[in-house]
Amino acid sequence: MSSHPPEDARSDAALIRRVTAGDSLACRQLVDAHLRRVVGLAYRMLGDMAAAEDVAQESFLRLWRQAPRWETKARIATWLYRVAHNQCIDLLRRSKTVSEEDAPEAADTGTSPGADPAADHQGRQVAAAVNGALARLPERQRTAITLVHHNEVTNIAAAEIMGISVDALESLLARGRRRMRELLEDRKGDLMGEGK
Amino acid sequence: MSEMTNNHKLDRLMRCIEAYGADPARWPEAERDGLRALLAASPEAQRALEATRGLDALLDRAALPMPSPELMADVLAAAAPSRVRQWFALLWPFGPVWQPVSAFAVVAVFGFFLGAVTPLPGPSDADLLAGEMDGFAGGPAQTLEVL
Repeated sequence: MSSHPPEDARSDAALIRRVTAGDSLACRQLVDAHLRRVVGLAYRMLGDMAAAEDVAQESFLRLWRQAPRWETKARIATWLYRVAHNQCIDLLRRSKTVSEEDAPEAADTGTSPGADPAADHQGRQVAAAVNGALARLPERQRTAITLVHHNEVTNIAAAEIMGISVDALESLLARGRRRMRELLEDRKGDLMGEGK
Repeated sequence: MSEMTNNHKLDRLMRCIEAYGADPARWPEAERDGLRALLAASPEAQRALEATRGLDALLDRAALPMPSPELMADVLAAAAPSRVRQWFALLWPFGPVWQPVSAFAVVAVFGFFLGAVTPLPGPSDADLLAGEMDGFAGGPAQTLEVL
């Protein structure tokens, strides 16, 4: 498991102070650490890369505006994910952009091609199958798995971002993972061999 | 009683594996050490952990998409503070600039208010008396002419 940026609230506050003072290096550091995960969360929730990027851009604009009034106890990641999550919920309420039966459009995951084209092809097929299965989960299960597994958010922060209790989060995670196993059962032979 | 407690703890470990997967780094921080110790002593939990590793590995393959370079550039461009903000930051590097500005504004408003409601000082008794004496003697100019 790759580690989340080792930040505590104090170092987050220090970083935000540098951003407020116009330190472009601090801005770059913050964007590098969080942009992909914010886009990823929005993409998983909306299933639309363009909409996900709009959500991420708006989330960062709000962060820049909030920076001079930053509360020292707040965490940047949790704050950004909550803002992005709330925007996605609003968008989903206004128009159901994701059908639970349709996989989202394929997005560039930034994996560079390796030396073995056959293995690359199989790897992409596995990723597509898993993304397809994720897209078929109910939105809240998909969001919970993305936050905890991919964005490596703690259970308490994930529950706070989603506005639910930790018990409810655990229930969503368990049901989501169970459903993923069912959805991938047909391709278990290929996928488990590839995934391990 | 002890067996019940152990069963309860084992149930909790199984629920965590089911919810968070095989990597203890994703388990609840406050319970992690206790759950790890329990895992080491429970073949049943170890089997459950092994069974869920495959799904964890598959989820790892579904990497998050990369943001476009244009988005990265737009977000960074929006972060650049205006010259005015930079100037204020130089003047007041201790935090949000609205605090000193607000304090100055409050003091200015209070001073203006105080100035508006305070009556202008009228002529003092000494001035009045001097005026009366001037009138009586024909004023300072006449006095000079006489001299």
